[in-house]
Amino acid sequence: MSFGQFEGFFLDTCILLPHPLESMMQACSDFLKEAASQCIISSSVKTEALDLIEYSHNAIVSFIHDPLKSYLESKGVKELSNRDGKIIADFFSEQKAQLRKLHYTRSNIQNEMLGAVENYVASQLHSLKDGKKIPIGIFLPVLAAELAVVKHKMEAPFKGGIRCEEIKPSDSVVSEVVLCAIMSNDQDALHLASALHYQFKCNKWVIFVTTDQKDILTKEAELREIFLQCSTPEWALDYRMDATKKKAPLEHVQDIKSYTTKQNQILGAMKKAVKT
Amino acid sequence: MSLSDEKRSDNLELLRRNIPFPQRLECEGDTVNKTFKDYKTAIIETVNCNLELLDELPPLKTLNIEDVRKRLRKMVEDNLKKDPVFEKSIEIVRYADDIWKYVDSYFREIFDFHDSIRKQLNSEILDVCRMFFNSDLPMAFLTTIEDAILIENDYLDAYDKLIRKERLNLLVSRNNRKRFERLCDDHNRWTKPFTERMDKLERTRIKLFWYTDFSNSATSDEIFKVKSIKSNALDMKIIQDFIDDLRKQIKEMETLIAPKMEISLFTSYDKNIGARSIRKIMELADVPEG
Repeated sequence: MSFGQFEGFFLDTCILLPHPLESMMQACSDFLKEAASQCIISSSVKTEALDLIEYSHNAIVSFIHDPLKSYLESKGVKELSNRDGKIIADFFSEQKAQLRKLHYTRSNIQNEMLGAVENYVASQLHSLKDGKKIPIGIFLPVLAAELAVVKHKMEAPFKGGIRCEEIKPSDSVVSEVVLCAIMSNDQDALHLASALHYQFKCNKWVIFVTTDQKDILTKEAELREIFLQCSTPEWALDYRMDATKKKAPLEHVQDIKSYTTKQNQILGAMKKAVKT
Repeated sequence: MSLSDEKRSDNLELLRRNIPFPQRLECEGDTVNKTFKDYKTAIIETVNCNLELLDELPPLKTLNIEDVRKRLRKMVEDNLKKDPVFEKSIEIVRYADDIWKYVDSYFREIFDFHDSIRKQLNSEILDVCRMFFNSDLPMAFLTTIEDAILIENDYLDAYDKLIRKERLNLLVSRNNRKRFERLCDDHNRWTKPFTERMDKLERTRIKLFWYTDFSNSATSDEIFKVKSIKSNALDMKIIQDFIDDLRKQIKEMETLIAPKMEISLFTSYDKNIGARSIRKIMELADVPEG
């Protein structure tokens, strides 16, 4: 009989991506400072995050490349000075709403990227000395260069510093997660199924850490029923303490006298998947 | 990012750097006189140590202490002059002193050198963005070259972080030749795969830039000048092959660097973000008033 079998924290995409709320960002940052060495990202999380970042970056470069250039030209602006902030502000204000509609993604990346660039432009434009002017031909490429750095910094936690596990959960496990926890998002189901698959394959407990209240944390009880513990970053370390007191996953499920329907379904799918 | 006047008008991309391996460090300025002086000083010091020890003896009944002193001085001197271990101990002290100076200045040079490369890389991102904004090239052209430049920057960060640690180990081990050499060997071993790949990656990136720029230049005077770039002047199959090759190499580098990277979360208001350059560029690009 083995106790204290804890493998690590499986991170959701949102833990490593920017948050609109500073408190949430702080919670993720504090958690990672404390537990980075025990964190894991699944290959599905990595792929989703990098795709979202790439998509958002490309959308914003296009937005700088064409609409912003045309807008400035239409206003007869060939150079920018510290008096032209209003022109840029109007443009960002109008275009942001449209950009969000046109390139909707479920993440906050695009807003963050655009926000970072807008903030950057505003602060730098304001800091120009009176009378100084910058040609648009330099201004626009500099924005794109800044955006490249922002993109690279967003990608960084997914490319290094955290252990990444190549996991391909079987379709049946993913389907059971969708059915048992009534997941509305396929990507979330894939991430959760990856964590669950890994937990039973290694026979060590994992905790899925997320800030996604709407799609995942509201299903916490359903997910716990099918043996996956989810947590916000604030409380993840407390759940780990709990996990170390339990028997290892396979022994834990063997001790259960009668399974619920959902447990039967997920264990059935898992048995097949882990055997193969 | 520094942008000279020439830089403002040209997109000059050249293969100009080679991140060096730290060489195995050896004694520097090891003149005969200095060595001889050290040797003599060491003998005098050792003789004095022995004589001090003699003074600590209880009074001797059978021997005259001054005779013993003379005799002991001569014996110690003669013995030390014939002793290869003693000679080696002086050499090691000299070696260690030189290493300290040498290692310290060497690493200072490396960090300064890397800062210069970072500035150069920032400037190269701007070059490619400017080329892209004056073109109808596909987005992959821009993002692939940007990624190739930024992975070089990541490598420099990882390299600096690791050699700061190595510097400390080298300095601590400066009077242990075997351990010192082993540290140098370890360093050379881990850097080798990086430098080889980095060199290849940089060559491919510059070839892609050159091919695009040169193919859009009517005369050799136009190369590296800011100009309109048309994809119909290019063989897009060649461009795609370059992009694919570069992507593959970036992936390889990312895999190599990943274990050496530290986790850092993005915040939109991070003041230390890499290319905080716009202000400088704006100032440089500005025409002087009046």
